[in-house]
Amino acid sequence: MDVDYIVKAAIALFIIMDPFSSLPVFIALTRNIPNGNRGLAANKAALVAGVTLLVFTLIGPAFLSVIGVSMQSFTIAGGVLLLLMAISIVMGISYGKGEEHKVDVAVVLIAVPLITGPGAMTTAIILAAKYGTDSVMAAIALSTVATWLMLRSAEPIYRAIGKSGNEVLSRISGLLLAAIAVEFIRTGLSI
Amino acid sequence: MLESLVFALAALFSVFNPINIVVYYISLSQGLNDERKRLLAVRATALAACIAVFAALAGGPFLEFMGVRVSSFRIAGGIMLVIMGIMTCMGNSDEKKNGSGDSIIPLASPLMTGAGTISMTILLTEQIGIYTTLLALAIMLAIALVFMLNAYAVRRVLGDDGMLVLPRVLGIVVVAVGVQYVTAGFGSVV
Repeated sequence: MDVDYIVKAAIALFIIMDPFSSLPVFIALTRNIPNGNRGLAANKAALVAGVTLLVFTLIGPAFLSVIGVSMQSFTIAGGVLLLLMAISIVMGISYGKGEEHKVDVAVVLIAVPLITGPGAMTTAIILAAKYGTDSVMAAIALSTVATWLMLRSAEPIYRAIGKSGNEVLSRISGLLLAAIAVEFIRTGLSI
Repeated sequence: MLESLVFALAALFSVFNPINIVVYYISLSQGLNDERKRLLAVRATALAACIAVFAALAGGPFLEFMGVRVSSFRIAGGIMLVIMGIMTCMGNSDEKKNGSGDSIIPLASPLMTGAGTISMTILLTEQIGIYTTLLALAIMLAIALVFMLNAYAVRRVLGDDGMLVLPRVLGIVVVAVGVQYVTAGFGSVV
């Protein structure tokens, strides 16, 4: 357990969780609910995202060893999924289109796969192998809280940077994600 | 034997994705009375079993007959698993839900025994032998049937959130298994 590791891991997770591209979706999906309840929706989204990530970090590796999947394969798999996610973010394809309009469903869609997607799960497992499980647990808590704060402040942030500012930021984080994805695939292939 | 059975069960569990089956089963069986709901689950499982057993028995010999090497099929089957996993993770599930007419078809295949399960079955037969594969398939189909017959209890336990989250997690595992087979296939080529 090292503060340096926790901070590094938390930053990596925060980048992968990418609340910048979650924010516009979050606002779009919760626009019909009254102002007081948007906070509750943010709580729920962050909770589902954090718990999913914690559970997967704990039991994911054990499950992988039973199934005979090596860490390399899992890294490549994560990289492929991440790359697809990045492409969808850069191209502006949104998740959950045509799904039910119930706010509950919308909130879960924001939590998984938007915040805790395959990318965040893969990153958490890889970071756990690198920095130790306890550090990553703390990092997950930190990055989830940071994401939660961003979701809580969805409206003021959105107003401040505006629709086009948010659009641009999402594209840039998509590009960053693509680079991280390629790095994952290369790590898995060790080239 | 026991070890390869556990391996086969874990691998099949991720491609079968019982929770995903429950999600579709609930939406496909809406409006049916309890009797018809049970019948749908049993019939779908029976059809899925037929397809899976046929794949297990005929898959290997057929590939051999066609002159396909095991390594080639590992690569092909692995690619199939990667695509199936990606669809589970990111896919929009709406198209598959609109099973008009006899809903046994989307449920038994491609949901229970689609390209993913068929590839997995054939890969398992050449890896751990046909008997262990058939045993694992039987157990897995029984698990799927139990999940469907208790669909509403499963949903109560997991909640709507769990029902959305868990199938996606298993989807990532399927992608990883697929990548593992592709690399194994290339490993025996190079």
